[in-house]
Amino acid sequence: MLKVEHLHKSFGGVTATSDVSFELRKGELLGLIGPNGSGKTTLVNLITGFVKPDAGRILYKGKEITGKMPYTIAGMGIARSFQMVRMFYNLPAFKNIIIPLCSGRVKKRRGGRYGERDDMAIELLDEFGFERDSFVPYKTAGSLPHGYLKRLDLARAMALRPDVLLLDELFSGMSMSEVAATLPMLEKLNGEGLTIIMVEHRLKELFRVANRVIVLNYGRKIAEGPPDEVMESDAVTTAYFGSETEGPDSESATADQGDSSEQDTREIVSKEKLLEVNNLTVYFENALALNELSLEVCKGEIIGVLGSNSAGKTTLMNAVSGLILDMKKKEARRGGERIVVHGEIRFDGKEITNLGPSKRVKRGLVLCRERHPVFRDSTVLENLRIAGNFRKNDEVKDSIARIFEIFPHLRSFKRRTAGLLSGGEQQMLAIGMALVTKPDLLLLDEPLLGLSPVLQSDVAKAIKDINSKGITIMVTEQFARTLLPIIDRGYVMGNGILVMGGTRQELAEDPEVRASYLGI
Amino acid sequence: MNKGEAKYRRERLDRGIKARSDTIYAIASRGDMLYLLLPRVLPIFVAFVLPLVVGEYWIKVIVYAAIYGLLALSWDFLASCGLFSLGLAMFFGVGAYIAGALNYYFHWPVVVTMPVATLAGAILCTALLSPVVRLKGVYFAMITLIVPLLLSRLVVATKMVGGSHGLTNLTGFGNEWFSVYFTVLSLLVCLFIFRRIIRDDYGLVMSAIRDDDRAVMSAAINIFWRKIQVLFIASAVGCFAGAFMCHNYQFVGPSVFALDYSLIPLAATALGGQGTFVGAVLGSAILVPLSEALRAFGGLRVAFYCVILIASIILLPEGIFHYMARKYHQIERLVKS
Repeated sequence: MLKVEHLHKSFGGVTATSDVSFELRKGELLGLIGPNGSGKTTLVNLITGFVKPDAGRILYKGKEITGKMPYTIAGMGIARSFQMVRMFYNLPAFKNIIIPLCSGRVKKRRGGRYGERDDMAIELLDEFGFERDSFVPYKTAGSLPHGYLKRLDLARAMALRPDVLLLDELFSGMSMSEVAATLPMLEKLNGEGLTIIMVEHRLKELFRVANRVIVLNYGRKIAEGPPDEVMESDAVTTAYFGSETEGPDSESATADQGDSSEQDTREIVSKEKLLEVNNLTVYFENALALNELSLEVCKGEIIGVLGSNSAGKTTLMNAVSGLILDMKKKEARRGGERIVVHGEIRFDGKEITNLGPSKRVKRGLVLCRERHPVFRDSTVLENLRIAGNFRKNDEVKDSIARIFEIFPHLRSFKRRTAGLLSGGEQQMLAIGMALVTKPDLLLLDEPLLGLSPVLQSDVAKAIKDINSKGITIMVTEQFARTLLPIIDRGYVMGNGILVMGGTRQELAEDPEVRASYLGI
Repeated sequence: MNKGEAKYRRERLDRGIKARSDTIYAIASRGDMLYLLLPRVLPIFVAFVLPLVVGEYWIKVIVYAAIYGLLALSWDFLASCGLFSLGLAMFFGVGAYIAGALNYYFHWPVVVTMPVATLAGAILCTALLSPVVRLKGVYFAMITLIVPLLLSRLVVATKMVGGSHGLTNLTGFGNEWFSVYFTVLSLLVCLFIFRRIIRDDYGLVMSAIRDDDRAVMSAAINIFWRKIQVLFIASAVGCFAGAFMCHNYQFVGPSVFALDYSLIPLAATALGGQGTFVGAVLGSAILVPLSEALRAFGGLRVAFYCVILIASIILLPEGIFHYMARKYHQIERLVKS
């Protein structure tokens, strides 16, 4: 079906893909795994024509498609989804599906008279869990939670009626239940004869459906075969999970044990309150995002905020960092969605409820936003300098040196353009940028999102490091597994309210938390 | 949140038709009918009646406003597809020169030169710009800014088509009533066609290309071919405006490539509101007469003009049309919470 021969690609001296060859058989579900920065997304981009290879060939149904434009390749029946969802955020969800329906590939087969495509799009979305009679298909894509966007992206790819589907980390950022709902869909599509390539970090789910797995590391293919076989090879475990542990499940267990010895010293954390949130309520035009939420963070703690998608974690972070005030102002100016914020936020004993985000940063309250936003066209060093803009030059130099100690990776990349870094490296940079401002309280919004297991534990380790330098941390996460071992206390959120709060032990022993966030 | 704000909050209520969804509405009463028709019919009515009541001088101003309106529509149409142009003078000038040259050298009548200039000009402009549709944002804008300057230099330097003196004594319309109604009608027709296109799936793809061209490519749509189509439509409108203007002045010279023709449509669209086309027309209907009215200030005219423009863009960044539409469809009031 698809044949890739000796593919090679490098970006500005960095090799992303080197000598990769494989064959894809019709009706197969091929898994593509590897640590962050191993060249998985580049491979998807190469096959779909978004990136031109330096050397090598790609054959599809016997025809060469190397170097063809992305729309030509898509028109031949190779559809893709994006790792970072690219939606038309201003359009209603179902209108997003109309775009592929307007393409020559679909037009030829089915009609497209006025309004006909609307019905086709809504019908298609219905199959992917956007109920036709609910409001969901008609809401603008920008207002949908992330899990829906991922499925919308899948639906958009499927609207092309492709023969081959490339899914770039479809499950990243989806909650357990969303993944559980999406998996059977993929199985069904695969059963109907669709050939699928899945790039995935969620191995457990991937292995349930994949026939064959290819493992990449540093742009090279290091293993290929049925899932169980591949996972047993030594090269793979070393590359993927780090050498000291044997697999993803044992990892958290060992981390847990390592920590419990430290437990006693952690108890002495001061009881001085750094952040207090009292009865915080945030309404968006039609939805209640946070409902009378109260929590407190003491100096020196690491606080975890757990919750599934659309539980209100990001809204909480935006409210605490003050970004929500900015959003509110902008929306009011253009007469858009009305945002209402009630309640009280106190930081370091002073009320900051109405303080703008930049003033909060100056007082030492810094947010590192979701999905590692960095200045893509600037180098790593420039990024850090920009972030430290309002500090004195010497101070910034000091902080940058300290950041390079925490993330030695970044030091070697300091002259590289941030956009060329892999997802994990960008995440580290984003945390670094927050640190330059010398925060007292660092807010991290889903720092582990989309990272491979070994990087997840790296970042978790870094969080502990930062904390040990006296910075209080509040971090949100969907999955407690990696996070739970490092936090002192945690809160669990659901639908905008706090479901429970407690120390790490209390959370770890709670049956509900175990079921929904630890996946046990 | 301070206390005053907590007690009262602003509430927005939809006004108008009660029985409706996003795409369908039911007209239940004469009031509903009026609510829908008034904002559409009234401006058209005003546009047709106005030339009858104002003097000769202001009739000319209306013609200018309509021509700039056409250029603004052309700009807005390109912008809806993510092509931000700084060189509408190119369309305008190419149209004017083709019509002028055909009339001057071959003595073709106006009925022939205008359609020929519109089509041939659009083909020429599209051919000139099609290699750069792959460029995005500021790069495309820079190229479009340079091309008209280059063309005007070319005309002056090679002394072709009249050189720096231009072509004079072209056939005119001879009748102001014809000029004004012809331009106003063309403007309205163009407005309706553009609004129809943008509401159709074709327009949906256009705005999708503006939002995220990679996602559109992954949907098997040849975005470059689409952009060329859009470029053709927009340049046809610009060339039409140019062809009309050269017959209206009975003259064409290198000044048709002047920066004015590039920037005033842009300013008009910014003032009126981008993305709806009505805003572009409204903007030029305000800007052009305003600039005439300020002539009384003599040298300070441009300064006043700029101050008004800056103030309106700061106060109403969304554009006058969006603001008016919102006020028309919604009532705002303070309610106790």
